[in-house]
Amino acid sequence: MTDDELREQLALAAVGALPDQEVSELDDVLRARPDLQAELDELRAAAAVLADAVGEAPPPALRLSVLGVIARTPQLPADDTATAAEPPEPPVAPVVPITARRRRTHWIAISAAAAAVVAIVVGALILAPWSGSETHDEVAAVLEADDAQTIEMPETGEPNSLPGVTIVHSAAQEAAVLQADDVPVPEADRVYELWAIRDGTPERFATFRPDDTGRLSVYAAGLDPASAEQWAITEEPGPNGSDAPTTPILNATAT
Amino acid sequence: MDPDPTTLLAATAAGDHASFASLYDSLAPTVYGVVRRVLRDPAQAEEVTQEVFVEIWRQAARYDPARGSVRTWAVTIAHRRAVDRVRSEQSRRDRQQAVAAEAVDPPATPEDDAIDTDDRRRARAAMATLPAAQREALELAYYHGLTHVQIADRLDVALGTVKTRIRDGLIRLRSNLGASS
Repeated sequence: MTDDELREQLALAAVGALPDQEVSELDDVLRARPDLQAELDELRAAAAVLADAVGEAPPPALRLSVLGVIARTPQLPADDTATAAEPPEPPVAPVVPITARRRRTHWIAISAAAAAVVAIVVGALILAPWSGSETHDEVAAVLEADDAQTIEMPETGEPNSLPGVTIVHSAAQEAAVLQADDVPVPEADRVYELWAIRDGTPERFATFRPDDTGRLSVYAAGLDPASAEQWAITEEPGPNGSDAPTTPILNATAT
Repeated sequence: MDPDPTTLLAATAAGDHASFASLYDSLAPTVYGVVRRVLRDPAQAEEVTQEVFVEIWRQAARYDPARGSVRTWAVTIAHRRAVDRVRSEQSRRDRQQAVAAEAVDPPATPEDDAIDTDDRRRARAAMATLPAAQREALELAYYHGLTHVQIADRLDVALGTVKTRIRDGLIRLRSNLGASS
């Protein structure tokens, strides 16, 4: 192939218009032609203009899903004994289907040995479902506080998201109440778990269950919404929940 | 002050989750936008966008600044994955019919979802300077994931014509980039 013909191939490669076979032939040539590789890099920068032209905000819950997966994904070292060809396919981390239109998948806890450690908040609370008067006064103290502020935790669109969840926080009471009227009641051996997202990593905060009618009114001492980038709820195995989310996010505060 | 993507990626390569989260915020609209444009289906677009960011996380230490900007690197990964997905779907159904029925111009994005950034405006302005034939060939390749042969069939022109239009269009975009940077 002449250099002119090669240059045409570079342009096609830059916009993804080459079939795989031709890409691989081109890769072979580029290994020996750094000048052409440099030109391909420039053409790719030009092609990126076509991407910029169609920029669109992704669904907010996708951010949470991505951060959850990478929290358990090892990074590759800089040393690369492979050639300049395509990097090997990473193991596919199951994806949280945010719009819930496709198959239901679950996060798998990849071995934590090499992955980033998910910090467990010291004193993670196990919250009892609201049922007795012993917590009624505390709940009321937060709800009726002068400085009470309400934060929404909207559904992400996952099946079994909890409708109408809010967090009412009182700085004066140094506590918050998680509330909802009619949430799905999990199986007896499952719980809901509340996560605090800090530095991009979900940290376990508390587990809880609604009462039998689906009512939630859970007192959480020390829950300060401003202490994390975002708050999220998943369903986890009971009674103690999980160290890292193993199911799709059901509800999340805005970032 | 926003750290630039190069700084954020370097910190990401050292395992810094907060920097990766900021990098996500910076790149996600472009990555999701191009993936969505190629795949059309929002659920698939979300899946592939997630795969792209997992790859960025995994490969962070292997990014070579001499090869181009972080943004170009991320967009290249995203576009390649989206086209791969489209082509594997294509083997299962006759996509030519679907392509023939689609308008060549990108569909209007609802205002709520559009990113009204300088990048997007500049990009659209740059594309508007292209002769129609070049723009059409570039869009069929980039947004529809068609190969050069498929584009030639679609437009009923010679393969060489397709190659020339794509190359000339990209060169014009490249010089446009140089002028505005």
